Amino acid sequence: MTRKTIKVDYLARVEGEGGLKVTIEEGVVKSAQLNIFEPPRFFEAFMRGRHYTETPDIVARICGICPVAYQMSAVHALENLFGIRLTGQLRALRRLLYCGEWIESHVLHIYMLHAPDFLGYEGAIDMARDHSMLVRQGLEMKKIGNDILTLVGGREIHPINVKIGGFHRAPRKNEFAPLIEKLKWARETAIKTVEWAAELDFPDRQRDYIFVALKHEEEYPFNEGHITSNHGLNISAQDYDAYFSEQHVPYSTALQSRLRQCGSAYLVGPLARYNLNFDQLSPLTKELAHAAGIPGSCRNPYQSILVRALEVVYAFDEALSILINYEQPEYSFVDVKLKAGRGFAATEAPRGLLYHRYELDQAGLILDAQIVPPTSQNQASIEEDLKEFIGGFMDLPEEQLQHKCEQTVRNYDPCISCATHFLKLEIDRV
Amino acid sequence: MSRSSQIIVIGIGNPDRGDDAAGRLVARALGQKLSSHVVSVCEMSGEALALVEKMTQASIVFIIDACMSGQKSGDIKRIDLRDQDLPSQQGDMSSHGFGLSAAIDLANILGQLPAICIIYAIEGENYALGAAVSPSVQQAIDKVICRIEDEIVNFIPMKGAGYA
Repeated sequence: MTRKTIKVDYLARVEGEGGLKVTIEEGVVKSAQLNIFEPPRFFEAFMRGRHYTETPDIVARICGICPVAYQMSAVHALENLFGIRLTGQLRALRRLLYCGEWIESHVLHIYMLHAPDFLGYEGAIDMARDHSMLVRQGLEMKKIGNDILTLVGGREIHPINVKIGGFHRAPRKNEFAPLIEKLKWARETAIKTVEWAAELDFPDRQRDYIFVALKHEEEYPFNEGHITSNHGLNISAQDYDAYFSEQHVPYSTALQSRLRQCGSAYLVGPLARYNLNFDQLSPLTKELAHAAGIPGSCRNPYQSILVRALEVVYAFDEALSILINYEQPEYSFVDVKLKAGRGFAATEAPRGLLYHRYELDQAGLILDAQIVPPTSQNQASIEEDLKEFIGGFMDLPEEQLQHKCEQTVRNYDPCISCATHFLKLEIDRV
Repeated sequence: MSRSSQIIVIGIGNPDRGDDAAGRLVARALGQKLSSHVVSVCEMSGEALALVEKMTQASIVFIIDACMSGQKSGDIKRIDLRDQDLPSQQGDMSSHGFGLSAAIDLANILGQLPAICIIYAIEGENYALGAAVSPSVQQAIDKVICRIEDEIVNFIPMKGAGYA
């Protein structure tokens, strides 16, 4: 029997520390394991006993790439408990903040982490030698995402301006004025990015995924909407635990999520959002999607770079629309009436659905917290992609085959640091 | 891209991983000593793109980071990129493996390296989560603070002007 093992000790160009082990027998992939060995950080545990007002600033520390997502899911979960629903400019500011994070995160992945796979480089540094203009425009766009976070969030990493009920301070209209011209430039550059990405050479691979994403009647989802799937799921965040389960696998410090009823893997993130919410994209983004050859549907994970590029156009478009219509609200937050109980929310982090649940006591102290990041939810889907797709690349030389395995993982832009929150505990009883 | 400040001091590291905090501690101390009119001081995680962006904001940049190069704990290495190269990847403690040397390479390739970029690398010995800074590294931190302070004074056209 011919048996081959592809082992990648440290995955490059992903956030955090993980590895990969793929076992092939007689040309068929028998097993694929995404080994996540980054130490767990116990955020859920040390949230217990903290006052609910500390939540947005603590959870922002879970990730340096997507702190806004953690803040948004946290404040929306607590606002769900307190019966608060933001409207008007405060709601728009929350969307704007999320636009900034999607831009930062997606542009980083498109240009610095994913593009080298398609252009045949080991990494972004090598790529920059031959494609310096490409990298420059990526950096400039990312900087504008940073600018949005700085203006709305108070600083570009781990923002500090978000609070339950709104913001500590709502920016004045004139503070946004310099940003509008930058956004117009960035939107044009983002359009060129889509046109560039559409010309990349994509492996012809598709799978019949179960896509899971928020869906909102009036907008492409950031903060609000029902959790839906292309298999008929349509639930509120309150019911998340009834439909999804987290499981431990021995080779990962991150719990893996599966659909509770059927045990199936599912996919969250840009591909899921795009397939479930195409109609809610801006006219410009839809037009570009048609021209790029993926109007409304995309099941090829290697094309996720193209879908991310379309979401970047949407984020710039949406940010511009919000800023043009922005008026400083009379109040930067609404009053909170403390209540004991449980609050739930899911929002759309750049990498996909991010679920939070908090339970508070009468004093506003956190009794229990649950955080399910998108990379946890995508782990099983990543492994299934490897099992299904890598068999078709067997004629590649060893080194290229290994690279193809890594690229298959990078399609998901996994944030391993976010996902790790499980510790395997072994007790020897003597 | 315009360079808005004359001198920037960037301290890199993770404040919760023992000796990896060295760069940040140097920057923090200099921030308290130097006038912000002349020198901008910041602490960063070491993520390459953020570093490139920060480096482009000044024509004179000091970067302080912890390193692991096999030397004695507390050893100080000064690298002036005008006449020396930063050893590739060696010494980066970034958990994302895409840190200082990548930032320098990238800035150089993109033509965005500041005219003067001086790196101080402090050899660490303990990078455990939650660990305290080692005594030898603390001594090195104090020395680097003095050395950078002296260097900055020499870069300021009128010695002492705007110097707190």
